[in-house]
Amino acid sequence: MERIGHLLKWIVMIAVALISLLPIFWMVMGAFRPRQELFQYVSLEWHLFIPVEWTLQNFIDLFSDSSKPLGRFINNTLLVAVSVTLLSLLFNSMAAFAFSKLRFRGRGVVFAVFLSALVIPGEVTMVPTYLLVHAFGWIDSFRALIVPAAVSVFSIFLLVQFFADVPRELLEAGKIDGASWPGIYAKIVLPSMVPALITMGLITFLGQWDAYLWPLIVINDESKQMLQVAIATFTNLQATEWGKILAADTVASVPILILFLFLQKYYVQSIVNSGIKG
Amino acid sequence: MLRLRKMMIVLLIACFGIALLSACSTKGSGGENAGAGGASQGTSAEPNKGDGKKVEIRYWRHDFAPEVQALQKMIQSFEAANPNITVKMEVIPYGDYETKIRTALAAGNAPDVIGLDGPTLAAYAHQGAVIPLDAYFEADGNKEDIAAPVLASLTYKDQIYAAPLNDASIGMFYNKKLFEKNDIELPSKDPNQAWTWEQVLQAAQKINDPANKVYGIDPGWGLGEGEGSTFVKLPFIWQAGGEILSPDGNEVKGYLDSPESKRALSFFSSLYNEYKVAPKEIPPEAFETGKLGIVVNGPWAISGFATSHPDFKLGEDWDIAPLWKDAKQVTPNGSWNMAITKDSKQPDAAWKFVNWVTGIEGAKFWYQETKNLPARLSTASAIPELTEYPMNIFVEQSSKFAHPRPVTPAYPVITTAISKLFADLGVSGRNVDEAVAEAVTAIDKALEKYR
Repeated sequence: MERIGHLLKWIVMIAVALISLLPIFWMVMGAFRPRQELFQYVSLEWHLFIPVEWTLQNFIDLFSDSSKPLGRFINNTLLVAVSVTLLSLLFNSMAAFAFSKLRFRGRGVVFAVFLSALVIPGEVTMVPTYLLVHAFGWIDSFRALIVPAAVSVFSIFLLVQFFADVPRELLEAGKIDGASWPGIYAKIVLPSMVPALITMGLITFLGQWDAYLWPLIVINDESKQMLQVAIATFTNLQATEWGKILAADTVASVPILILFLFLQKYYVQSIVNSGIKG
Repeated sequence: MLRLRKMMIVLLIACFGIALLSACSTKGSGGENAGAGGASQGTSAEPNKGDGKKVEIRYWRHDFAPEVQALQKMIQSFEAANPNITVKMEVIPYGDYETKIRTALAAGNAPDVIGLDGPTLAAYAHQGAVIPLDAYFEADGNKEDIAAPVLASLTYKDQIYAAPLNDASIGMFYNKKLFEKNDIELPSKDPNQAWTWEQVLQAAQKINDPANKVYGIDPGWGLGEGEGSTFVKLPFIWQAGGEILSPDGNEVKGYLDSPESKRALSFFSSLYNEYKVAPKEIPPEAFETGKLGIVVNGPWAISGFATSHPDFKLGEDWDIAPLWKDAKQVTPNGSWNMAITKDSKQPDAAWKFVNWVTGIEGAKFWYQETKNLPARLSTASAIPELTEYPMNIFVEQSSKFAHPRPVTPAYPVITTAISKLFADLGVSGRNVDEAVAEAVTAIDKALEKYR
């Protein structure tokens, strides 16, 4: 009986994996096809996924177009995504530490106000944020992308959940040994929170890597543009350059896949931890 | 306490580091832009009117490589002729072009010159976001040279708000091989000999073979949303003798729900539901890959197909006929234009640039580079190619049969309502009266605000 259950579980899991992976597989294979055959095969057959004629032309076109330097866009995006991730790790973890471990007047109210910001969609705050950033004179610079993203209510909320698991006794022990609050934060809380921080960092990085609307609005100069906005320019009024889009998407997925490959252990661990803790 | 202080210092260093990083990178990219980026911040931030001083014009448009390249050349020649004006062009992905422009306008940070799609003009003009160009056109804009239907589409409350880059028209593109295979007589290439709806339907019925994944017709760029989709569908209503709005643009009742309009909508619906010659779901690029007999498309597709599908040849595999007709022969018109925003602090210099690109000489160069249908009569007569097949079809259609889209600030609502109306009729075969009544209510509500 148990074996059948296991078998069923495996079959379902393989089916789910296949469903999630097929579009990605189609994308990668599509990047290696000439444009003409991309939509030639539309029914379920072998050539729907496997190119008839293999080609690297899409990648050559992608990287040789000097008016849209993809390498530059990747650099820009990396710079912004890494800066935002580092800053948000610092600020959000400190805020979460304060909200979960420090006792100060008005903590509950401040935290509630903070959390209520969770329900405001980003589109609503977009124009006010734009006006603010414009007033600072940051339009068309990376500061406009990095600074507003450095603090995230969602990340603070996520980390508060994890920080709540650190026993107070541990902190008190630190206190007795003469550590200050920043010391406790840096030496006791942070080291035990590595999986949580990695999870948050991953989510932040991914969010920045895929950011589209905000960079579109605040960056005007094409040489400072972000990857996703640049990819969107392959679709224009007259046509969609599918080959280039698929090649660019394939290239854009690589850093994320590498990140997950190395960090998924922690990612899964923190999800499991938060799930069964109680 | 000491620890806390240390902590703060670390924090400060981190902040400075980030600030420096971003500052450096801004400089770096500005430098690579041949100094244009560096100069921009200074000039665009403060008003600059001095004659001897350098003026910078910022120009935003949507991204389309061949047009952007043509404009880069025109900007170069413009800057050479006007050494005290520099033009900074910034391109934006087409899909979110409007979002970006509107945000910048809201913040008072819009560029001097923007690209404007015809039907959005009234909304921008109504809000005072773009300035009227009548005085400029009187002075040196050669207004009389612009095709009358195009000028009408750029006029809101008797003032002209934009200068046309080019016009647009559509024709009936058909797969010659599929026609020959099914023994269908090929349609005439003469713009005055357009096929009727019935002829188109008969041909589509002969070609249609869904079992083998070959379809008869895609009458209007699928059933999706977007202005392009509305642009190619509206002619059905006009061809039947119907209208969308009253001539003054204030009323929809009695126009969109007239018997003529309804007949057009019923015909469109019957292609999908009764005769089933139009597929409700079409694979991408079906026409170029030989799966579709008849489509509508514009002159831009000629070069588009040539680059994307070089083996699919005009004259051998496919050809172009004038757009079909019914009670009347009508084709859509209007395309992208250039307008000057209220935020521009140097509208005179901005006009100089606009007129350089869209003026008589500019328009000829624009056609040579982009092969877009010209909006100026002088271009059409100056270039022999425009009087020959296939371009003559589009040129003649737009001079004889063109019908501008309604010019009203409510147009964004109209385009959504119209594409939804056609989609409802095509996909689900809704009752025409009900669907039209719904669209009329939606449009009427929007018009209410501007009466």
